[in-house]
Amino acid sequence: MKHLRTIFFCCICLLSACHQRPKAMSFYYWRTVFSIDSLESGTLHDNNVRTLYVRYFDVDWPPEASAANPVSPIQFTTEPTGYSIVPVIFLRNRVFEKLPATSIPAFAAQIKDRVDRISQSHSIRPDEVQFDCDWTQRTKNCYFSFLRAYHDLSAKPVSCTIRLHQVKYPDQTGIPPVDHGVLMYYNIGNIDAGGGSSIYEKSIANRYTPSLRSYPLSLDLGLPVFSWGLLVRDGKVVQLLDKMNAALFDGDTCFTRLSPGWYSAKDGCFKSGYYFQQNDNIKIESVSADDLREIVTDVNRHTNHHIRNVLFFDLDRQNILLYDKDLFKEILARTD
Amino acid sequence: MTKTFLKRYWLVLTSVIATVVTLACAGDYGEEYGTSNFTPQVFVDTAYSPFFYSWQFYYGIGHDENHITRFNNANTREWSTWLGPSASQKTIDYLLNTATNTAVDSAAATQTADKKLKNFLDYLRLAKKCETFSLTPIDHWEVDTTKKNRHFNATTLNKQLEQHLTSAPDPFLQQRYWFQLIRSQFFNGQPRDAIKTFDAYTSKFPANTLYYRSLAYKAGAYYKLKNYSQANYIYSLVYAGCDELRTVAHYSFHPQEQKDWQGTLALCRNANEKATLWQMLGIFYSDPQRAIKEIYALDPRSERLDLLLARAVNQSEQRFSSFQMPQSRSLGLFPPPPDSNNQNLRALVTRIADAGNTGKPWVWLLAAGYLNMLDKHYPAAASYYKKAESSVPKDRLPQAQFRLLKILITVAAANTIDAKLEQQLLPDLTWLNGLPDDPGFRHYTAINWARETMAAKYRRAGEKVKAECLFTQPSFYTSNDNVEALKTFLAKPNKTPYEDFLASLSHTKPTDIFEYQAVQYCMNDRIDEAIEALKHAEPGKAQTTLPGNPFNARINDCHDCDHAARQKIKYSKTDILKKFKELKDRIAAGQDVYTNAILFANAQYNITHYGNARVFYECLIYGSDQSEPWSIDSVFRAPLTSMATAIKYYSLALNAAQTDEQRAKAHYLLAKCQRNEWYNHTVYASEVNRFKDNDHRPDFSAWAGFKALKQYSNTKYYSEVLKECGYFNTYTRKNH
Repeated sequence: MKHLRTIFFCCICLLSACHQRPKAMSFYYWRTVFSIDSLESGTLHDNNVRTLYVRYFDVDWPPEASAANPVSPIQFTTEPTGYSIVPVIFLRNRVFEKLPATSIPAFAAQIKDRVDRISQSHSIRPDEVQFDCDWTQRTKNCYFSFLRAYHDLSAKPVSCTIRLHQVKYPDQTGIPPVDHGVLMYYNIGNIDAGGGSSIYEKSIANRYTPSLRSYPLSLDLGLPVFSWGLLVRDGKVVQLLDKMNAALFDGDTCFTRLSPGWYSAKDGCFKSGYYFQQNDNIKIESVSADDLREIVTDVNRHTNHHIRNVLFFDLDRQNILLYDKDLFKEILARTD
Repeated sequence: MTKTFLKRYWLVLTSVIATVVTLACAGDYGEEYGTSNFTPQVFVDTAYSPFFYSWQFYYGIGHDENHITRFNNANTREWSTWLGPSASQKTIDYLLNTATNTAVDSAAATQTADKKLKNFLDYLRLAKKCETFSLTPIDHWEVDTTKKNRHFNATTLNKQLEQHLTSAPDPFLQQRYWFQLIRSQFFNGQPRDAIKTFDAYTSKFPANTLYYRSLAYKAGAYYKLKNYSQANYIYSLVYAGCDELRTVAHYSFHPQEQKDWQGTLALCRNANEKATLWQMLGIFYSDPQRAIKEIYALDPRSERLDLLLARAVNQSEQRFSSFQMPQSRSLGLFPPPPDSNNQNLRALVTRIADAGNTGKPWVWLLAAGYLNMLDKHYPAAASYYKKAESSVPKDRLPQAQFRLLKILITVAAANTIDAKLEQQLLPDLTWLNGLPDDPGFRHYTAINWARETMAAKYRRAGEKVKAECLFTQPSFYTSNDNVEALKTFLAKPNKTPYEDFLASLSHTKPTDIFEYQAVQYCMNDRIDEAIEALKHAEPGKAQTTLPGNPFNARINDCHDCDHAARQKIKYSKTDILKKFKELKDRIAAGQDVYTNAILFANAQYNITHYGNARVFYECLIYGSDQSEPWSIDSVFRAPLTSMATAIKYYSLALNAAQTDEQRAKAHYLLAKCQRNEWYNHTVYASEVNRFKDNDHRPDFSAWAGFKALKQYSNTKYYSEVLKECGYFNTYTRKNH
């Protein structure tokens, strides 16, 4: 009897192990020049990363322009050999506010053409294409039509980023017609000179995460591993200081530390390509290891095993140096 | 200076502006310099105009995308001069800019005795090869960047260029080979060689455009080598020395760390070079005050201060901005700077103005005066202008700028505008108002602001008519006394010159006033007076055809249906008034009161905003094309949506009704009025509701008309209403 119970128990464990598809770890690559240094490649190697999600270009339609155009296309100074590349195209929402419905097929063709040319010139054969767009109720129809049109042209799966507010209000924002999504679990708060972090704030995320359970699309989990600064002048945020962190300011005599994460420029000075006027304040926002653990715990609680893989945003030596080298593996393992 | 005081003068009153002087908008976003009274072209070298303060990246240009064609014309001219009769300019232009490599190769292969031509074609062969890596078209969808050879092997090409460089028969050719070699070394992975090549020949060639083009590549080479101190220093030399490359140098200028910046400054050979760097920092990194301080300390007479002063003042005066640039404001194109910025700027500029030791002291005096005026220090402003009086140059632009600023201070500082001031201002205002459209001199902000401000002062003194002539306000027209006073003024014979000027500015003409009064009278059931007033309106307006039959009433309002329906008789504004009179006379005589009252009421309903004949009330004063009550100016919203007269006559009809059918109809039509009045008293009663979610309100209520109509369930009309009015249907189901 005892044996039977043990055997039964082992069978259950084996069965559940079979149903647990092993999760993969990936990184987004978001710089305009593709060049991976040894630290970055080492991190990819140590974590068994096979796939990179590489931003190919943005698309924008500024108010004074007559059409949408590509912006800052990626340049490859090294070939991305050894990795499976998923092209990611960032589309500004205002493109879909202006794009007429009749132009959607041609627009999708333009984008596909550009994606293909970039891929071909660097011997990349993508198995998937991803779109990143913070669409709204107003642009939903246009954006979704675009996704369908692109899918029609491309034989490959199409995925897109999903933000928390879109998970919570699918009736209003709709569910995009894609094969799967990536839940962008960052840029949750407001970019302002207030106390919270615009990257991740648990109290804000909590309002949305429970809705994950009922969201029908299968999702990868996109996690932030970046930091940045907000340049605050006269109480207003005037510039984003990409990839800057507290350590950069702590040692710099041009700046005074006002409080944890807050600095002030003593005089006008240059730093990391930015210029700071006298009395400018800098607010550093970052995501700690504990924050990441907290995010995964919350997602696990509400996910009902919908989460496929984990994607970190983004691959950059500045970001990697912020964390213990085993953290990425730990987070992957924790994800349910 | 208090905030409310500020509001009274500097914020546009929230009423709809129908200013007579239309702003010459450069596109949808207004002028690219926003709101401005301070024209840089008056005192800043126009070679630096791309750096005037603008919402565009470069003033007058936008983004600089000229990289491929920038030197085409100059290049053709230079070759043409050198080649002389050997080739026509047209041929040279074709060979340089249009011909393919193959065409050039074959041209070069043909025998010619003309040595110059041969040299040109030999050069061109190599130069065309260089275009493979040196021309990067601006990235758009059509461009195929994969064709571009990223790793061009320039070994052979560079050897050839070098050979020609050393053996070229004259300096003109030699400089060109020099340029091509430097550029090739820059693009093809040899930045150190590019620098060496430049340095080896730098003293051989004049400081012409080609020299600066080469110098810019030297800067780029240092940048590739991450020697930012050198790179940025050299960019500053290009910025200072070459008009055509100024924007390029400015865009490339990019210190990374503080030590780079300090290193760049240390390379400067004199104060002027340092001043150039500070100017670039001040422009590109939006810190004009710091840049001004530094340059002033180096050399108070430096011309480089001028552009920075213009930018700082232009930025500061954006707080002057108002609804004149509604779209640019909502797009965030001109955020007004914070107060502390303005205070610091005024302190800095007045300090320098007081010292009087700059290259153009008069400019600083005017700027000091203007900034004091913006901060409401009027005596100080006036005193600076007085000091400037003797030194402002007699040329047209400085005098115009000075005159404009003095007009502004006169208007700003006046507590009241008396006859004496009117006489004093008349020639200035006539001049300012009459200035032609001129992008080189900013005056629209000034005339609009002057009119608005003077109007406010007149209003405070009870001179409403003068105020209205200068700056129209819908609320003026809600008082009949005002309206009559304006009519009288405009019709006054033997006006004084000042009065003539005011009358010419008036947004409203007497015919507009009569038309407006006609509508008012009609809506208030004063038909005879309405008819009389309309006689004096513009004939064309009085003949405007109403698009639907105004005497019809439907169970469901449908303006489009009424407009599309076939009409045996079409009514103009004059016609409807005539008909109103007919109906009214018949009612007074007791003839078929019910029918005539219903018709009268229907038309009164239809000429309101709710009806199919809104066109009746549309005129200059009331406005037009308002798709919802919110679009009607708030002071006119109540009269144009009021159901009072319609209710009066439907009630009259009800009292005269003799059958149940008639009573049923009257009650229902009253219910429609009650519904409209409900909207008037709830949703449209307060501006606050405009952007609120009003969806929580009920779709309908148990109107008195509904309640009364229930008694007539046996009538045919009742069943029609039941069929067509869902609300009534629901009401009856819920209230058996």
